[in-house]
Amino acid sequence: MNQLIRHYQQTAMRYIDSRHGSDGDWLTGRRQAAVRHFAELGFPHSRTEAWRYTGIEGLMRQGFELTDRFDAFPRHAVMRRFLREPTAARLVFVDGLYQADLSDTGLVGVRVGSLREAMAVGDRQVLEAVGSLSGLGDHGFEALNLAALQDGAVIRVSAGVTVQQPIELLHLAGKGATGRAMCPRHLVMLEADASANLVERYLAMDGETAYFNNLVCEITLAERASLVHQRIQQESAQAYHLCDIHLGLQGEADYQGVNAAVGGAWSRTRVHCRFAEPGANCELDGLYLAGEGQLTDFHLDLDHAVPYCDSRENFKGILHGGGKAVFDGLIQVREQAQGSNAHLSNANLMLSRRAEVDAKPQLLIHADDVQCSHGASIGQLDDQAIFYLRSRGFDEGQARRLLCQGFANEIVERFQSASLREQLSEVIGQRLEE
Amino acid sequence: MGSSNTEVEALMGGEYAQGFVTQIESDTLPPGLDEAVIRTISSRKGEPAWMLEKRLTAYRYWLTMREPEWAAVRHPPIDFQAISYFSSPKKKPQLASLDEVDPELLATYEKLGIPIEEQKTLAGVAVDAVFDSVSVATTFRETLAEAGVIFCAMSEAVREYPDLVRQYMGSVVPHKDNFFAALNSAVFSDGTFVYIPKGVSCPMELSTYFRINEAKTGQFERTLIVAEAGSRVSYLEGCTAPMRDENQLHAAVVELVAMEDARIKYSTVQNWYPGDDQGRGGIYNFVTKRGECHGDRSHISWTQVETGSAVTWKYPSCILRGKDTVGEFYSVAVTKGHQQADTGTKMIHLGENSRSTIVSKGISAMHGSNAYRGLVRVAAKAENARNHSQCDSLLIGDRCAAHTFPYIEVKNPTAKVEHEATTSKVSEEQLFYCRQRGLSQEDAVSMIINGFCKQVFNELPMEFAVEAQKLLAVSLEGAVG
Repeated sequence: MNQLIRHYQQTAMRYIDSRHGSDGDWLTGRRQAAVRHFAELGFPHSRTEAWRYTGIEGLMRQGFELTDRFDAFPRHAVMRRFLREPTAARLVFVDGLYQADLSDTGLVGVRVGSLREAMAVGDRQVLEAVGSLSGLGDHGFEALNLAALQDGAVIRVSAGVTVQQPIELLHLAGKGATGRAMCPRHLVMLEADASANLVERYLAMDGETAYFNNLVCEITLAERASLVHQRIQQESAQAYHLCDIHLGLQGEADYQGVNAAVGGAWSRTRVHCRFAEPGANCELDGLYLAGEGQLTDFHLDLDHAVPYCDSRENFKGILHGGGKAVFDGLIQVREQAQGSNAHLSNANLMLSRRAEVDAKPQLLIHADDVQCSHGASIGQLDDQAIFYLRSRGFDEGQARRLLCQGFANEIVERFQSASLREQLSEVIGQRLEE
Repeated sequence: MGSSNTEVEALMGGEYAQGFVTQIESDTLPPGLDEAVIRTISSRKGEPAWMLEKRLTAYRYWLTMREPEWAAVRHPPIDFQAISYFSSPKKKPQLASLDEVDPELLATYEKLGIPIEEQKTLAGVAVDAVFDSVSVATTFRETLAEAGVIFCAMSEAVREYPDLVRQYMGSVVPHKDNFFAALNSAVFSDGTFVYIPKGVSCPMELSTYFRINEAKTGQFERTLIVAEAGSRVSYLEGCTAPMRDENQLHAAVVELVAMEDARIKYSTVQNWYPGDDQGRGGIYNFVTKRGECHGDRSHISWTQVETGSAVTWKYPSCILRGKDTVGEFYSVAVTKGHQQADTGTKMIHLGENSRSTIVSKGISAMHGSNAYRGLVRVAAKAENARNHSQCDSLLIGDRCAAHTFPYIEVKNPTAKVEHEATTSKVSEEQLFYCRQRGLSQEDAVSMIINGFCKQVFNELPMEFAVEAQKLLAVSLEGAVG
């Protein structure tokens, strides 16, 4: 293991050297500090509590390079994957790198651009936001992201501005990503009273490319700002996808996140929400679908550090084939956080013999005037419901699919975009045909 | 809540009722632990060579282990060399008749409210009393012997029934299981052995009272209950200790084995000295309890009321190996002052149609910290396993803490597993309603808390249920002013 850590440490240092002159001293210093931090943390292992059910052996066996490289795709192939609704702005990333010619960024009151541009011009204001919520990283991979961060989106919505139409973040991975670790980092900042709607998707140009998407997302909502965040992870069947989302919510800010994880061989999404001022609200919904050879992991970490904040989480999973799901939902209420409301629910549907679910909801409560609850369940389709549908003329397969769709719909309907809802239902339908 | 500080302070005066020391001459080994100490314990107890060998193996393994750190409790490091590993009352009581027991010892039990004498004639509960490291009195042995039930001190069982002890001891909790189980396997002093033969329903409730009396001693009792096919037994355990400034260690191991159709009900009212309100002193209660539902249709039920100890670290578990086996865990844990409890259960489903129920009620008051930590594991072969867990926490005061850490691992698609947990304080509406009906604040809170715990108290044998309710009221005096 030590040898591995040294190897990646050296690779990261080489990457930093290769960027010499294009980062500015300040960022170079941060990158070097992140490498040192990585060397201290190392990679997570099965004895690391947060990783006990999520092995990284496959990823380590495969290995990954830290380099900048991408394959250009034909424009029409990319456009076909655009969100069907009209968008306020669009940022397209191919193999982890921003593509200005495919993107569209002319908006009043909103600054939309790439992190690479900000690095190139040494935009201190933007660069100082890097790591403002994540620090140097909570685990080795997150530290590596900072050490070798390549690009990402920078979205800043000015005070009082409401962006009605969605801002689209589209990630495409093709052959150019093979064997690489992509380290994008997104910075989303909403100033006071601003509101926006973000659609973030991870798609593969072909289904079999093996790569590692190691991303970090830092989202800051100022007083009374509100963000709707719709995310779909549909990476290639061989891909590793690791995402750390950090939320910082100021007074009365409102975050509504809905996640769907349907792709990738191995995917892990962590949402860390820190309430910085009273009155904020955070809602998270999620759907995961794990089939043959897939592992899907969601880690939620709700930190009620101040009084009178609310959080609600609802995550549902469908397991088929040899799919494996891991769910960990921590609600933490600190001593001074009186008046907190926090409710978490996790339901899993096991459709096959070889599926596995490891669920671990947690409550860590240090204040008394609170209402907190969590629930987790693991079960299968109700035989009576299947019988009912069959008596109405459905065959067994149809009945089962219908019930699964119904189970998933509660989350699918949380997606505001009609085309995303349609696409997701389609994916679920196809997967259950298998 | 409502009442003034002076009232609260007055109520806080109602301290640990069992906190007296009994002046009985005792024979205590000097503090320290090495192989010689283990040999001495073994020879004092007149153990056969195989038992000594078992102890030494466990001790050597223990030396290679590290103290676990994962529990949500904080305490200064334990100096295992500062503890005396054996203490027995000097005048060995003759077991022929209770009249010959040291009168001071009997007085102790009376103070504790353990009516050995009375029960002998009235209640029909057989009692084994373990004082520091030694079992001093076992009642009703003859009545039990008629039914074929063996109920005796562990040290006696090692001598009298070596085959049974050798077969079952360590079969559920092997010495390699964990740090404290290894320590216990090396130095265990005494405890209770129960054997219920095939088809026998134990004619009375069995009960053991444990008390740590001597200063600087640790208590490491070992309990083993074997229920043969078709038998039934209900066993109660109670614990107390005097008030002392320093922390004392209690590291027990309890093993239950249930064969086909057997049914074991194990109830605990744990009221070790919890330390004073500054958090000084108190018992460290690090216990490994585990039952194996070995045969088909066997049933093990754990019920516990945990109100004592400075630090509790305890997970009564069930291994549901047979088909159609049932495991149950009912728990009320109260922490106040600076008490910390990390308690819960493990339900390991291995057999088809195995079912388990977990009901855990945690009450935290003042600076108390209460954690539920549980594991429900459904193995790939356990068809139609069923589990329902419910963990509720009640918070009283703004400096206490309640945590819930359930682990759910399912590898079989026919499993149905549900877990629910809630955390809240006593609702203002409920209090208001009671107050409006003329109840005092204190009575209202007490009533609501009793209602909160009812589901668990209902599982206790009747005598214990009453005791548990009283204990709860006494424990929370001052905390709910």
